Amino acid sequence: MHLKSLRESTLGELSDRCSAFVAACGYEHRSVEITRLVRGPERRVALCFNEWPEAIARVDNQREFVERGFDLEVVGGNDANKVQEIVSRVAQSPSPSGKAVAFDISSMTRAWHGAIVRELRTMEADSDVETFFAYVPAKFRKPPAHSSPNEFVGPVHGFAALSTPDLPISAVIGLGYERERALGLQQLLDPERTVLMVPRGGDQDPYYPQVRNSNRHILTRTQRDWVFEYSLAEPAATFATLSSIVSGLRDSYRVVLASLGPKVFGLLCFLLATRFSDVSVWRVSSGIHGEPRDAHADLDRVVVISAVWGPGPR
Amino acid sequence: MEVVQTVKTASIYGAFNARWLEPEDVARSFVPTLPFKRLVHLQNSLLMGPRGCGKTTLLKMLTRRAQNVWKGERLPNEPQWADYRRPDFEAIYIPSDVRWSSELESVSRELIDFPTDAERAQRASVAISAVVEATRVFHAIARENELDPSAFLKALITHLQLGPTIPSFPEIRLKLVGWIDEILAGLIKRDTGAIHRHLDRLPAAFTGHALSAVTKACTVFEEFTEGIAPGRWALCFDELEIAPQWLQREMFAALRSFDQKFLLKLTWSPVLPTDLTPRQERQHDYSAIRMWHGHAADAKPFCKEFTTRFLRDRLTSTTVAPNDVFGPSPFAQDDSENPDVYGHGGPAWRTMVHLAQRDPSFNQYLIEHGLSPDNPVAEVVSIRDESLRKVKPIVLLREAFFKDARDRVTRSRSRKNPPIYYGEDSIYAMSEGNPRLLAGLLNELLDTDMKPLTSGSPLARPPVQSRILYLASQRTLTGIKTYPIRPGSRGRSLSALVDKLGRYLHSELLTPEFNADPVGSFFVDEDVSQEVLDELSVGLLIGAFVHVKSPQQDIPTSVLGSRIRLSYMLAPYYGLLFRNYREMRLSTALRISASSQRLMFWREEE
Repeated sequence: MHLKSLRESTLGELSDRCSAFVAACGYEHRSVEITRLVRGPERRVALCFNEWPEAIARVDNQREFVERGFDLEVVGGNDANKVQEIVSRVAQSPSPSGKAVAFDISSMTRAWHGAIVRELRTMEADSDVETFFAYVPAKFRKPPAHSSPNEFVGPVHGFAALSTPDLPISAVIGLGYERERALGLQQLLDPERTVLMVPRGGDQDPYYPQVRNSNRHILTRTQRDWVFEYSLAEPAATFATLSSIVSGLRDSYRVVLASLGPKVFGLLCFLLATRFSDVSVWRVSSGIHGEPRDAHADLDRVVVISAVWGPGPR
Repeated sequence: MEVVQTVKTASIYGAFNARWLEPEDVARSFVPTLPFKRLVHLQNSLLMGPRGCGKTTLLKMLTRRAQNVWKGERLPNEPQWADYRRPDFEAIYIPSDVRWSSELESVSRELIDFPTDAERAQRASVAISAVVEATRVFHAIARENELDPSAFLKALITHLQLGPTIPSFPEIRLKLVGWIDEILAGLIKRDTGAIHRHLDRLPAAFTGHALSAVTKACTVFEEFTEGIAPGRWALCFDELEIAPQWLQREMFAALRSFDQKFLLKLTWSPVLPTDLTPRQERQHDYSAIRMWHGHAADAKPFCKEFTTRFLRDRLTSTTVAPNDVFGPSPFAQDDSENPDVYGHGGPAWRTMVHLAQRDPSFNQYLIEHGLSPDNPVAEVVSIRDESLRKVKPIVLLREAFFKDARDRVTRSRSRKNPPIYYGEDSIYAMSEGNPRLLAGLLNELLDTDMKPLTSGSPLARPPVQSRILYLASQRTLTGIKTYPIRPGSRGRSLSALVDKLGRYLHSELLTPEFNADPVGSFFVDEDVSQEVLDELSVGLLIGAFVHVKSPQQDIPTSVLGSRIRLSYMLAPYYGLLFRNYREMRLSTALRISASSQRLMFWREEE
């Protein structure tokens, strides 16, 4: 399938239009929050993390998912293949015509995001398929004083472009609030052109000053024409901006997209890469070295994206 | 859009990475070095050094496009470089970078159950990349010789078995790239059957030996362009150190035995690959060319020349010199003949008198060397050299950090970064003679406001320089901390190791008793664990550590048994000096640093 269109939506619309819903059951309190607000989808699957089975709220979350009628599937945080298989089953299982599939990406890993989008991209369909992606940001907490080391830095399964290295690299990096991770990625990739995407959730967004502070070195070393702020509340506009930036860069660069910040930006990177097969999407992961860290949902800032997929390649 | 501090446009001298420069621009900013003289020899070569040390620049300088500019633009105006011979071969530069290398690696992960197909897919990608680059070179030769390439192109299509293809250089390249796209399409769909069938359909030369396709293409060129084809080719593979292992193995095997018509010019990390350790072969089959400098002074001539050209280009001045912009470094030690520095009332004299008043151990040192703590003047040059010049950097550092320790009430953030790291020599030393680092530092320094404190003082104010260099040092450490750790390793072993050694070396300079002969480097002894050896290898590749010297023509064959030091880029952060000083067994240093907190925290306790 190919991505036809993308727009902003609501949880109400998601509830009304979806026949299947896939969420993640992890240790964050945030894991179950969207599920509590979604009515309707009869087919419900929770991807349960293999890792940290007893950390923080994991046990309670799992119990709640069961109570809400979810089938549980245990998956490793980096196991993209299994997620693809599950998405394939869920998305292609018989359902009333026109019904959509929804994903709560809030507590999923980037490897899972990639697997979902990859499966949708490679699925075959006779008619349009609508998908919803729901995301709720975490309530603000200061970033950990010591960030865990990077164990994996590289392309996500299915999003490595393999272009021969005859053009320079441009790195489009979605900034997060962990200190200097973006600078580390930049130093490793050594791009000729760096584009920074800074999330901003309004004037009162507590993350914003933290993101700027944690990335001050890379921000001061990047030409201001290549630093873009985007609104978390407007993913469709962000997608259009990102698409425009990447389209402009592709003639002269081999583009790498990397999201170190809000997961919804990472999702947009994957969606965009389905349109440009020469664009790579990279992830940075701390592997076994990351410690569990709780996240509570900020339900005032729920984001829902509707993406419509058309049959066949673009 | 948020306004951030503007980063000013850099010139070709300011490019951080030669990889992104056209060969012509590489030639315009090129500063010849001895390694280049060795690289042009008709011999296989292994260019060894950390990232950013200029390996790509040298490979690109071998190419026709760079040589044309060198001959046409540079030599007529700069005859002093005339003794740098032009290569007597046609170089084909085959690029690589971290992105490509990671993407090739990802093919293995995607096809984890089909390792043979994964390797064949990688082989096809490498072969296609090499042939694509070769066609650019063929095109340039044909154009320069006004040759109609039609016959050659048709032959190339036939002999490389490209199938129906319009005989033009761009069409051939598009055809080849299309083959990679087909592999990619199969990977995205996880259609292993389609990938397998596609690989089976490719001509054998593209999935066979890494050099098969490109050497075949060169041979076809020779056959169909009689009279203009070069007698020898040099295949220049960049970033081999991060390439798939099968490619490394084949290249190293080819260094020892391959068609004499083809030379190999390869890049590698600072430690000789284990495939090549039968040492006696090195002299005959290939030359290992060392691209790093163990001592700060070794890099100075290159740095001075590069910086002069850089400044004149960016400041559009034909006369400006590095000293005008940055001034001398307080650590500079080539000032013994200058009586103003060590004489009564001179800057070194003042620092020594000041320290002697507050540091009893230094006071004692001067007395023991027959010098008056109130007036440490040595008229005899040898005594000045031995007793004063040698310890001047240590005195400066103790003076700077001693203040920090004593003056607790007024201690401020700036004490963490005492303004002693500035000036021409400090910049050169921190760069390690690494053009990418040097260009980066110079760009940042020139992006600040150029306002001399007084008439005749350097354009870039020392405190500003000091701040910029400290930030660069801090950033280097960030790069080390965020460099991906080896799978399965325990946490941040490399950055923890660097941190431990940085603190250890700093404490050596600030021991309670003044020490004129501190430890500044480490001998990697047999008691060092394998895990530390592995971290050292990574550290040497990314430039966190530098080989000071090692046996066998200064090319280390293993980390074990070599002598290393921390990169001078880390000096401002840890409060170190640009000297190697004496060495210590690494295992001993690690044991002491693990057990002794007295040395580590002398600064705070004082």
